[in-house]
Amino acid sequence: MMRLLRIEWNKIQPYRAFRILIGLYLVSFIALPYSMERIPFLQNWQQLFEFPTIWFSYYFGAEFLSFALAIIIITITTNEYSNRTFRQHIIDGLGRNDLVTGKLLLMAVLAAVLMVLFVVNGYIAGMINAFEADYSGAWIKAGYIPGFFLHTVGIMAFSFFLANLFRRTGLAIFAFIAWVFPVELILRGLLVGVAKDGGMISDRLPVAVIYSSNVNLGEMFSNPTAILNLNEFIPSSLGLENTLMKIGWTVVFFGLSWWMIRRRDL
Amino acid sequence: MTDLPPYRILSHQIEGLNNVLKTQALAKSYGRIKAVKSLDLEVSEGAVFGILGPNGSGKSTTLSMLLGILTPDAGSFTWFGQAPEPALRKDIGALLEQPNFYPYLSARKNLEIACLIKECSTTRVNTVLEQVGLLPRAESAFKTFSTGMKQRLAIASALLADPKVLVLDEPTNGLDPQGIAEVRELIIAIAERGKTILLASHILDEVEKVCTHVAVIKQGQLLAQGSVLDILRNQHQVELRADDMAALEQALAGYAPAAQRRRDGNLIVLSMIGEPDGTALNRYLFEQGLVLSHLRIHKKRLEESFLEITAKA
Repeated sequence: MMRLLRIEWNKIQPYRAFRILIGLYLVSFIALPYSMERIPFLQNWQQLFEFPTIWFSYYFGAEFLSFALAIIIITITTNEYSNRTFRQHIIDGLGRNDLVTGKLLLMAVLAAVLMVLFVVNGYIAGMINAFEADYSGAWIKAGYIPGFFLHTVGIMAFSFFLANLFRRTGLAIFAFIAWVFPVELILRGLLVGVAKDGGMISDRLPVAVIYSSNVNLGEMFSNPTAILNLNEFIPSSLGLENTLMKIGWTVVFFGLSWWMIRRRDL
Repeated sequence: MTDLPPYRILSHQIEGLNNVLKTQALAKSYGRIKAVKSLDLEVSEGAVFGILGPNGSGKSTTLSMLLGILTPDAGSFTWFGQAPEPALRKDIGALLEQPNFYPYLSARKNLEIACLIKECSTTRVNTVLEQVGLLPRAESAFKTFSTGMKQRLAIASALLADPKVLVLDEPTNGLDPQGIAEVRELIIAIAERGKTILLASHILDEVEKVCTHVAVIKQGQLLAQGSVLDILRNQHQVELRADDMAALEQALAGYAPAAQRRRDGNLIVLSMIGEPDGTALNRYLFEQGLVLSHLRIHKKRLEESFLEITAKA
């Protein structure tokens, strides 16, 4: 297992595109909880950046940034096809399962590191923003921490799947953007319009699950009472159902990738 | 037969040793095109085994199946007497079609990754880079290499784990004459250390120069398999013509030194066992009451053997 991880790390660590992308991502990710409160629109909502709602806000902001993670995973995976190195790894003695396991481990480690960073950075931001030095309620909404981990893994699993499906960087990135923005939204609209229980299905599509804002932000900002009872308005976690759905889609995307790599002529 | 190349010395050591590779009815199609049709190969330990065939004859497809990149449609194969599994490939060094490396990584880093996969010591990296003459360029990125250097790095990578078997697919492709000579010398040197080599090539000369055994394939079908001496030997041929060709043919049927007899236009061509004796043949036929109008002895060139074999299909 460590060997597969070392192989993966040796491949990407000197890769300039990876360094730049992960660098930009990390800078934005770390700056996020300190910069969000400077958005004029949010300035009246200082509470969002205090304990314990900071976990929700940080999670919500980080969802936007994970687009960079998708590009990283797509790039390093499609590279294996264009450099024909997946093929070479097989020749050299890796099994097809190892190809998937290596990438899976890399993503798991990346997601775990980011989660630790999420906790440390979120806590520091929360302390800085705290109205008084009482951190007793800091962890009330800590449910967003595993939620963030599952979101990161989910988005990477989805990107990995698209990268394996299309095998070309440009095509896979285009497919990712196309699916996240118009395609799934159109699909959701159609499902709700056509079927009686369309909403049931549309809410369970991959992007809807992985990008799961469980708070109706439009309602929150237009509701004058929301600001007064923000803590009640924002749930303490993403909920069991969303958690299971995230895990479900992650398993599906890794499973499909595994199936493709196993069956394919490389 | 004078000037015997070194492999002739090796060939007698090979008999009776274990099979390194054995394929049974191996087949692969791409859509409707049958790339490989029911291929049976046997490669014994220590052999330099050539797979000879024109372009598109299924050589690369065969090697790709043997190395786990392609899944055979039918048939099976064993490496070292065992059913194929990834770990077995660590004992096989391979160069398939083109060198595959990370363009942004240096030669050394690329080989270090291969080392991690093959679970061999990274001290081997310098050894193999030295062997292929790339040590001075070890820290340069792969993308800055010339075609010949890329090919040599691929050979270095194949040698990395000091494998028991080396699989080389057109290893001299794209190299200049000097590079070709170097690679061939390298292959012979490796073979002399007792390694088994599987070499696919469309160049007859290459197979003849470095191989002990050969399989000739065309359109995915095995046409002939055996030692290079048997399959592609420089046979002597005798061309004969007489007024009564039927009588000549009959008379030659009992002529022992002829291994093979065929009609070629208005000639009869004999393939001879050993050095032909023109006088003895002429006398033999004269005694049978035949007077020749044409008698010519020449050495069959390798190309002829090859064309003869491939024309049959």
